[in-house]
Amino acid sequence: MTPTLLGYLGFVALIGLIAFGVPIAWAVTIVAFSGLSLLLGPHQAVVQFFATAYNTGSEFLFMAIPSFILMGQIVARSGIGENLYDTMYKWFGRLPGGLAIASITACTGFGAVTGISSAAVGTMARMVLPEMRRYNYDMTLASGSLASAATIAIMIPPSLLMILYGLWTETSIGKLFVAGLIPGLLTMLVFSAYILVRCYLSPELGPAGPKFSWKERWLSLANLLPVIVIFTLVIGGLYGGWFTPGEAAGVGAAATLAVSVALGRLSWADFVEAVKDTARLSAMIFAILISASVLSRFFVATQVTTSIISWIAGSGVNNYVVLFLLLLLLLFLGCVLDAFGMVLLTLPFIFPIVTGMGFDPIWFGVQLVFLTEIALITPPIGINVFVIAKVQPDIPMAKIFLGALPFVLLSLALVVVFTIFPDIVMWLPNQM
Amino acid sequence: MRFIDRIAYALSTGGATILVFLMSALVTFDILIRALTGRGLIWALDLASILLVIYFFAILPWSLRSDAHVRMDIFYPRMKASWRAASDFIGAIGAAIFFGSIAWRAIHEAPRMAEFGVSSPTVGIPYWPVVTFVGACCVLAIAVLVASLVSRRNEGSGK
Repeated sequence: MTPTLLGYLGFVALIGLIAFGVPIAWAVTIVAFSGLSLLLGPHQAVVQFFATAYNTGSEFLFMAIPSFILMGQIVARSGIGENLYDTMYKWFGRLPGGLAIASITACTGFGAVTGISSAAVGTMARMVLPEMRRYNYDMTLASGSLASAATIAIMIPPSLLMILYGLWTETSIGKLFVAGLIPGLLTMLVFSAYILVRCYLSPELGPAGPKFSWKERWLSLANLLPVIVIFTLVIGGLYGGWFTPGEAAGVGAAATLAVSVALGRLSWADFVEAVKDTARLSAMIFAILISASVLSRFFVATQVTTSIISWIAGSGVNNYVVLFLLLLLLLFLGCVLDAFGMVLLTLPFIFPIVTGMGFDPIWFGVQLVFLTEIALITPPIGINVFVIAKVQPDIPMAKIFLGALPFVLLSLALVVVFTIFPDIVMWLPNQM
Repeated sequence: MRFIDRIAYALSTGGATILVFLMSALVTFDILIRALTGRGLIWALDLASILLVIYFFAILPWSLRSDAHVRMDIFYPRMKASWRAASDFIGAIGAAIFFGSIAWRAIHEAPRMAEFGVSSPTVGIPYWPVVTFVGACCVLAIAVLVASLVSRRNEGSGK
């Protein structure tokens, strides 16, 4: 059996194991270990696992993973999200669909202090949906818009998926963060405009909320202070060259903890819960990271990736057609796989192909994260939809998926826009 | 809760709480010192890297008990109990390979590192205690895995 054939067999076995419900990290481990054992011997496979685990675990940059997760977990428990929503509610609540617009803008702000979307959706759903129900919002629009709003948080720095992409592909995390900013804000504007127009045409979908005086509105801006402080410290420090992404994450976690304690919003029990959830998520990502690193070495040794790139190059197919197919594949995989698993599993194949075709790694990183974001609200595994259904069990999941559909279509349209006009993504990082 | 599970839980919760706090405090302190004096603490990066590897391995054993590891949930919930058990068993084999490989190598590496004095690059913190800890955590993870399989089998047979 040739190494390349072994590589393809490994690929098929991996798909089979994952489809059979074997946890992603362990499915990847089985394929990587068996493949390397057949190719280089069991001793080499054992050495690869140990060396990868130890080197990855002690790589300081990876401190960004637990630290940014912890930041999100603390923010979710400290009431900073509630404050954000309160401000947005006072500014946008009186517009048609204003509560939905407030949740979209609040989730965008939430993204500035968290690296994960699930923290945003879990926090917002508890307070926003009862309020929307009180104002007789159509629950399909309400739940769908909220599930979609939380996805914007991934694009706004700091973003855990961008960190993983940057670490894996050795792309500048600072540039990735900056690159996500305009697409994230554009998504916020497009989603808000859609809600406004739709509720203006059919006011019964999202009746206007109460009107607040200008004094109340201006005073509410004080609620934004913790977010501004944390965001400026982390992102400003990163761009100002004061610290590296790993250090930025550590400082961000410490600052979030300090701000939450200073505001008197975080109990010891909340902190321990935040640490426990951080440990669970970090352990999952770490295990996939190690096994996927070893798997990528197996695929490099079998020259599977090289053979795919050569095949594509020799096929004469237009680069944009290949890119379109890859994006379609990512969208499909995102629908059936966890976001972190999907990113770490596909990068060893897709990244060399995309960069080999001449596409910018920063631009592609943003597109990849954007597609992952869409996958959070598409069936069958739309994590954000699951979270909302858990918080508000009386809303059927089908209704939430239906409500999210227009936002999925809008997001797909934005993917096309970012492909046709890559400067929307690349303008800011090119200024660095 | 079993003794093995209690150790894994304590490591994952208590250990993680202390380590996360220590790492964040260390990094922030280093940056503050750097801002004030123009030069950082030369041992900070070494120590933070070591704390990080200890953190990652401290949280892994309990992750096997807390359903932390994601799977593709399309067919699995609809499968028969026997198929689900087969899927879980294959997963356990994968986890055993993962932790077994790292533990096996760590057991061999720790004495070698102690003998040759392998240490961190700037201030010479010895690596052998860290690698021993890594190996111990992986052995603990395997014990958690076996205990989990045994308890599931007992639940299945109604014991």
